[in-house]
Amino acid sequence: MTEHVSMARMNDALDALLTAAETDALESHILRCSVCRDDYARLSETVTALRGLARSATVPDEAWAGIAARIGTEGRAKTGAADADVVLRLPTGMAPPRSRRLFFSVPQLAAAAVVVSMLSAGTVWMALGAPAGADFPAAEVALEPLGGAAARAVSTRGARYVEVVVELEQILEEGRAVLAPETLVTIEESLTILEAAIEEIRSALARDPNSDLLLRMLANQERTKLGVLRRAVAAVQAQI
Amino acid sequence: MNSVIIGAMLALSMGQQTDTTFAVGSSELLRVETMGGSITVGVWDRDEVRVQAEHSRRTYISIDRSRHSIRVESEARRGPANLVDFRITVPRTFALDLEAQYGDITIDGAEGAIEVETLQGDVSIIGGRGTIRVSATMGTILIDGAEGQIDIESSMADIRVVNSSGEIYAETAAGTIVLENVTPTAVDVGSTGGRVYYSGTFEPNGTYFFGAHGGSITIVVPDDASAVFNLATVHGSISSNLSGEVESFRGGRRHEFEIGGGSALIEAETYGGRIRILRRGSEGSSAPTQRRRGVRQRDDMAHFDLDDKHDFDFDFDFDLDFDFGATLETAACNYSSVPLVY
Repeated sequence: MTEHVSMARMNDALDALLTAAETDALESHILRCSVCRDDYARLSETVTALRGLARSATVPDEAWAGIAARIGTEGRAKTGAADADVVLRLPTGMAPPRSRRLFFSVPQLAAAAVVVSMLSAGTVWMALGAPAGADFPAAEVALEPLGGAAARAVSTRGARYVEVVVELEQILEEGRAVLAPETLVTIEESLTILEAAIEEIRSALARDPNSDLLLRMLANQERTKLGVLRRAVAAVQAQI
Repeated sequence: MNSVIIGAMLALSMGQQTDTTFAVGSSELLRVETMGGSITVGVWDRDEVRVQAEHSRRTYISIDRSRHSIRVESEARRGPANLVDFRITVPRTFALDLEAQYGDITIDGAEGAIEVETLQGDVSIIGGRGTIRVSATMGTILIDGAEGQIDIESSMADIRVVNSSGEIYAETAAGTIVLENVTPTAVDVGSTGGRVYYSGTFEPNGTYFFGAHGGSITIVVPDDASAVFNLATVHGSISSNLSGEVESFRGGRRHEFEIGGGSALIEAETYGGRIRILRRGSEGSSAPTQRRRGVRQRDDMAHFDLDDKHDFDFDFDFDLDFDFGATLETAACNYSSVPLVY
């Protein structure tokens, strides 16, 4: 059985890194092998389409302020415009971090394309641009912070919070393939720990729904979970 | 915005080193962005920036200078850039905005604002003034000698802030937070699965909040502290040796007491973890040593194999936090307070 052309070799060809002899050999094989011909055609088409995308997309600085005004968020002061910048890059195949060889496969490009479309949703831009420590909505349960602790959270169980979390989780699920295995394990472990904590608190709240301590704990953990999801989605976004 | 491309496509085909120095002009901010590889920033007293980089032949270093900032990126002619290790020297007061997805970031001696983002890598910052922000998923974060608003968020990273002042905000889902020899006016830190440790001053009218879910909170209090303590735990325990005797409080309710006139406000909350309030120098008040953290291992007894092949697969992750009761002799020799004993 004829050996197929590796994905690495196809990428080299698209990047014009092959010698003339190597190029001739690849073209000759593609003429004879329908499998490689189809793979190369799809890879070439996808790369061409992605190269045609804008190399950066910036959320307007006023976007977060407008959204915050609508949902009534408060949080710590932002430190700079860099938080609002979102850069889309060409996708990359995920070799182990210490390897200097990066390439991308067709399935990874497909996953990247799905993530790109999801990232265009307004809600997610909002989440990605949120200042660190910003409290997310809801006014269903007003919680007076105790003492003088800064930026103590109000309840995060509003509809907007749930919507953002669901979207971020969906993007993370779609973009899993572009993350390094160790990164994915870390993110999943963090979320497991947070979700277990949130579940414990919710169970306790079911027995004592008026506990300000439990309500504040729940808001803090949900805020931390949102931060983990934001960073995870930003990591996915950085790979594409 | 007018931009001037300086040194683009340096060392494209000749080799794997970039080394260029140029005047900063009116620039005040350095931005560095790389997918993989380390970023090391040092400072000097010259109005110049030196960019050194090690990279493959497919990669070139793009340096884009605008009116107020210098942007350094790794680029490739087509597709993503490969790993690049940067070593950059900037004027001491330069602000820094560094991003490395897979790589360590090290800053030494900076006296400007700092913003750092890494996905998988260690962050070490010595210095920093004004705003110091760090975002990391995994690795270790060390901040030493910073002054200003310190804001750290991470998923799994262990956080250590030492010899710093200002305001300290930190949160981590599973890492440990250690604040040692710090003099902040405000603290707001929390870890869901890890421990929290504080040993520093409590400034008059300062506000200090420590939160943990299952992990413990240890707050070491100097003798001259003036503070109101507001402590609460759902299922954990609370203890204090500030009065000279060990006092224990039940979980499930809030406990409040005051020392030295009650100027600062100290709040600590856990769901199931211990809260320990310790006099400085007493037993158990030393900072935990930093451990290297990789991917957490789980205690997985499901892999226990009872056949004759003896191909067991154990993964353990111990998080030991003992309080050893000192003997009476040790206490008499070394400490003036009764040690905390469980």
